[in-house]
Amino acid sequence: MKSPNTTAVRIEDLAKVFLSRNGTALQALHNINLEVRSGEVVAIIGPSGCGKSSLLRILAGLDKVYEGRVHWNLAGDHGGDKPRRDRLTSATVFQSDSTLPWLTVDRNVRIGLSRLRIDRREADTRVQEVLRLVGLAEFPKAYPHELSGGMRQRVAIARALATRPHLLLMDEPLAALDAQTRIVMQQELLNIWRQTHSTVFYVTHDIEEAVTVADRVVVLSTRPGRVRLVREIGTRTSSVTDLRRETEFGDLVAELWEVIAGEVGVSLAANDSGNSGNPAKAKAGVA
Amino acid sequence: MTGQVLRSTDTPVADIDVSDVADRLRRDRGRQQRKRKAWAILTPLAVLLAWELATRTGLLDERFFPSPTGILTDSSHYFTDPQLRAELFSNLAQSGVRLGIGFLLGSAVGLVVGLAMGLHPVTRYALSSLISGIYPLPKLTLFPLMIIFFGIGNTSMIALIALGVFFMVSINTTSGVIYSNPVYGDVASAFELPRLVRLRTITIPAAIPSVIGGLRLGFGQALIIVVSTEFVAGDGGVGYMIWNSWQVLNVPVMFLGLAIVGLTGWLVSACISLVGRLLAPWQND
Ligand SMILES: Nc1ncnc2c1ncn2[C@@H]1O[C@H](COP(=O)(O)OP(=O)(O)OP(=O)(O)O)[C@@H](O)[C@H]1O
Ligand SMILES: [Mg+2]
Repeated sequence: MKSPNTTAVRIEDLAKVFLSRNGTALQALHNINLEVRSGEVVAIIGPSGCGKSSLLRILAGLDKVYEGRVHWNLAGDHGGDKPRRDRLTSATVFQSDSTLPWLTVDRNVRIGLSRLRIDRREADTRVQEVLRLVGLAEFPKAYPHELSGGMRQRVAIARALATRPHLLLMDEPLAALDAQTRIVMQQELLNIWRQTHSTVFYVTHDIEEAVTVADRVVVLSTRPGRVRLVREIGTRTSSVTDLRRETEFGDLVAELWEVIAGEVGVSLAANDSGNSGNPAKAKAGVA
Repeated sequence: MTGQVLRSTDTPVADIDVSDVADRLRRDRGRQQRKRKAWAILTPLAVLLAWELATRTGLLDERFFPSPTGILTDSSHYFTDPQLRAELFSNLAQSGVRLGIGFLLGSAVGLVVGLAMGLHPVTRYALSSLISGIYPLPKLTLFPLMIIFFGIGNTSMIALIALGVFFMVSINTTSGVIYSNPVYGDVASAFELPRLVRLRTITIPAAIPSVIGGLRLGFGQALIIVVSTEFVAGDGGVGYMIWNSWQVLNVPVMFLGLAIVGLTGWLVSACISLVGRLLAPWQND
C-alpha cells in the first residue's frame, strides 16, 4: 500500500486545443495545474462546455494530444506489481451511455475485468457485489435496451467499481438518477472508496454532491477551462444524510454557488455583449 | 395529529393484474405479426390475380404474358417429365454452384478486408481509392477481363460474382467498424481490454448490423451477376434458361426462371435477416 501522501496524479500547465472540422481552433482547457494525492477524491465542477469531460479523457489516457504534462504515479503502473494484478490502473464512468447493447448487464460488468488476473470465482463475487451495490442485483440477465437510462448509468458505475481501480474517473455518474437514489449512491461510493483507497476525479454539476463526496472541490471557469478555485473540504465523519444538515455544509455550498454563479453570469454577459456589440446592454441586464 | 396525515399508501386503488396485462400485450404482439404476414402474402397474391384477369380478358398479350395459372401448368412439366426435370435441375445446380461459391468466397474475403480496413487506417487509406474506383463499374463490364484471367467457364463467372460480393461486404464492414458509436472503443481502451477480447466483444458485435446489410446487398449483386454472365456465356444455368427460352419464345419457362431467381433472392434475404436478428437482438427492426 502506498502512503497516503504520495502524489497520484500531477497535472502541469495542461492545455487542450481542439481543431474543429473546418480547421478553426477551439481551446477547451487552459493552464491547469493540479496535484492530487493518492486516495484523494477531487470533485470538478464548472459550467457546461468548460472542458471537464476533455480533462477526464486526458486523465484516462484516451486523449493523448494535449499541451503540458500529466504524470501518473499509480500503483499497478509498475512492473513489480504485475504478478498480482487484481486491480485496474484506471477505470472510467463516461458521461454518455457506455453500456454495450449486445451484452447482458452481467457481461457488461464482467468485460471490465478481462485485463485482470483473477479467477472466475473472484470475478463472480465481484460482479454480484457491485450489482447489489448499485441496486441491479435482480437484473444480471437483462440487456441494456430493457433498462431505464438511470439503470444503464448504474451498470457503467458497477463496471468501473468492479475493477477496484487505483484511479477512478467519473463523469457525472449520478446525473440520470433521482435525488433520493443519488444520495444513497453517494453514500455507497464513499464507503467503497474508503475500502479501496482509490484516487477519484469526480465531475458533477451538482454543488451539494461535490461537497458531499469530495476531499477537494475544483471549480473551473467557462471555456477555456481554468482552475478558478480549489477548496479543501474538511474530513467528515458523519453519513451523507447527516452531513447535509450541518451548517458548515450549507455555508460551503453557498460559497461555491457564489463562485459558479459569477462564472456563468460572466459567460452569459460576454455572449450578450459579443452579439450586440454593446457592453452597456449587458450591464443593464445584470442590474 | 393523526388527522393531519394525508392518505398515502392505503388508497384502495384497483390492483392491476400483471398476468392479464401480459396476456393482452402478447395478443397484441401476435396480432401485429399476423397482420404483417398477411400483408406480405396478400399483396403478391393480389398482383397475380390482377395479372390472371388481365390475361384472361385479353388486356395483356397472352404470347408474352401467359396467365399465372397457365405458367404453372406449363412449367409443371419440368417437374413431372424426367428429361425436362433433369434439364431444369442441371441448370439449377450450375447456377447454385456459381452463386454459392462466389458468394461465400466474396463475403469471406470481404469480411477480412473490411475488418482490416476498419481497424487499420493505413490499410484503409491505401485501399479506399482503389475500391471506390472499381466499385461503381457495372460488374459485367469486367467479365471479359475475368475471362482473360481465368478462361471461359465456371471459374471466371465465380470470380466475377465473388468480386461483386466482395465490394458490398467489405465496404459495409469497414463502415460498420469505423462508424460504430465511438464510446464502445473508449470503453475498450479505458478498461485496457486485451486485443482479442476487444475484437471479439466490441469491434465485431458493433459492426454486425452493418455487416448483415452488406451481406444482403452482396447477395443481390451475386444474383444479378450470375444471371447476367449466364446470359452472355450461354453454357447452362438459370440465366441461360431464361435467355434461351426467350429466344425460342418458350415464354412460360422464362417466367419459371424469373420466379426461381426472385424466390431465391427473397428466401436468402429473409435468412440473412433472421441471422441478423439472432446475432444482434438489441436492434429492433
Ligand atoms: N472532439 C471534439 N472536437 C472539437 N471540439 C470538442 C470536442 N470535444 C469537445 N469539444 C469542445 O471542447 C469544449 C469542452 O467540451 P467538454 O465535453 O470537455 O465540456 P464539459 O465541461 O464536459 O461540458 P458538459 O458539462 O456539458 O458535459 C466544448 O466547447 C466542446 O465544444
Ligand atoms: Mg462533459
